[in-house]
Amino acid sequence: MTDRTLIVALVAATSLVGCSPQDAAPMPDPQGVTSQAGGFHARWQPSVDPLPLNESFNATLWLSTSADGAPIEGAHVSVDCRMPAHRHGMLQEVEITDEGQGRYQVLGLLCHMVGHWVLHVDLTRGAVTERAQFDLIIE
Amino acid sequence: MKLIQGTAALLLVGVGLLLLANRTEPISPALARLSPLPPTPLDPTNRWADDARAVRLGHWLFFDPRLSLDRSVSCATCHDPSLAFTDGKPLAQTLGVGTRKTPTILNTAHSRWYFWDGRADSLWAQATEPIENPLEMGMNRLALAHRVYAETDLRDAYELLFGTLPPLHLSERFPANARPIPDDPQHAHAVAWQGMRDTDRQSINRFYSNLGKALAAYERQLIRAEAPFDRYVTALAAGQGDGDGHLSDSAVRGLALFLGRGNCTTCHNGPTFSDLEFHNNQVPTADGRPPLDPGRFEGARIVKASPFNGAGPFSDDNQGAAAARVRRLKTDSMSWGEFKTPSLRNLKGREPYFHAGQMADLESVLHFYSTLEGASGQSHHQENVLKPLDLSPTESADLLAFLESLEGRALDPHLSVPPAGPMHK
Repeated sequence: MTDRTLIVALVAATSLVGCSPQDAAPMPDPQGVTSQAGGFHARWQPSVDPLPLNESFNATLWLSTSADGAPIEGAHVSVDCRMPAHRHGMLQEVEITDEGQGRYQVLGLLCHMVGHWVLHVDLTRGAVTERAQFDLIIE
Repeated sequence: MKLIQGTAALLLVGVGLLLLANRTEPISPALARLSPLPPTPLDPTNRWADDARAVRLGHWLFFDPRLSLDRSVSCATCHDPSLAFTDGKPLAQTLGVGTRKTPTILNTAHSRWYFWDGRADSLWAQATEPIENPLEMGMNRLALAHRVYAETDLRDAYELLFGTLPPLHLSERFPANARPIPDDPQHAHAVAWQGMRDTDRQSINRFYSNLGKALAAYERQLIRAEAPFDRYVTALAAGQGDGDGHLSDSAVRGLALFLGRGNCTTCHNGPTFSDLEFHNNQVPTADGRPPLDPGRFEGARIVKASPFNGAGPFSDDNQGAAAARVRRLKTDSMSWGEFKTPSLRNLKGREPYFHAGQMADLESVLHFYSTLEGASGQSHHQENVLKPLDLSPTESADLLAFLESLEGRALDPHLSVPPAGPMHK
């Protein structure tokens, strides 16, 4: 193996790491997550799979009082994505539409960099705001 | 035991890669993100973006000094084709000295935002601004409209494409000099602008945005792609494990560093080698003092307020994706001091580098990322991902060799000189 061939192999190997099934961008947990204070349950489904790098996408969000509880309708919901390691988030705000029965359309998610992002779902009821969050990997 | 297993696994990967060397294989995601440069994206906000008549008029206007108040400078004065459509100066200098480096307009149709601070969201909106900047071309849109109205060649070409100009001979309705100046409403030109009928202001804005759309149609032609790096990736995809010799050994090592330890694709990702967005990389200021340029923080405010943005009345698709993008854009103090990630394609001739021309050459740029010497931005938000790369001289040379492999094919020479006239035959 010449130096050149070795380098080509290394370049390919570096890149191929991203192809392995175990490293593919994880889809959201279909079971959803419970908010940090336990007051609500959230599930979400993005419009595309895998999650795109630096391209806008949408998502559907379902909110309920618990994993098998009643839908939460008419809530004040905010959604954002942040990169903890970079100390920044998305560069645009999402637009959220309440479709009733605990279902919300989230338009305009955009993760512009490769890496670990956290999707924040903040639900405000009265004086209390609770957060549920999902880990995302953008490749 | 784990070490032995790991070594065996690596050997298997290596053997596997060698076996793959002569087969057609999909290239890796990391390389696929960088090459090739795709076809120029459509711009639905500009219905003339790909109209040959608009290309010709824009081409003519780009080199026409009549777009400046004193007829002394044109777009090509700063965007000099012989200098990769830049001016070779740290700060733009025409009628005055600006605060930022003239960016290249090569491949600029692939951008999402324009200017270093992204204060325009389309190429046509960008093209209107330097014309009225007192430090650049010093014109105002009423004076320009009167000039186009009076100069037969310009008027004929304009009206053939966009229709009849407003009745500019009605001097009581169309003052000689006027433009909106939101930050200085007492300026004589701003007062004259406010004194016009709303419908006349709209017709002048329509004229002015149309000129921008013609200029954009020409600038969309300035694409340099198919660099040696692209041919290398194509060869890899065809199963030629050595990339068919399109990159030198040094450039291949530079590519590995670019994708690996250099972390360059953190920002320089995608087929333009830019994420098309904004970052605060703590680039040293020219005078060593704390940075004063708000960059994206101000740019985001401006583009959202601009009547020429994608959601505005002069956009030809003001309910589409461009409109949603500017509507959703955050005006966040976190963006203070951020500047647009420049494309790394076609770097040759664009020196000095960075938003205020702080670095004389690419060696200086790499030295900064190697050491973070002189890093600024101790106040305000800054990226948390920069670490000194501590590059060896060989590694720096390898990265330079890789960057040199990003020079695309030369433009068609006719694009670098004025055409015979403004009318498409």
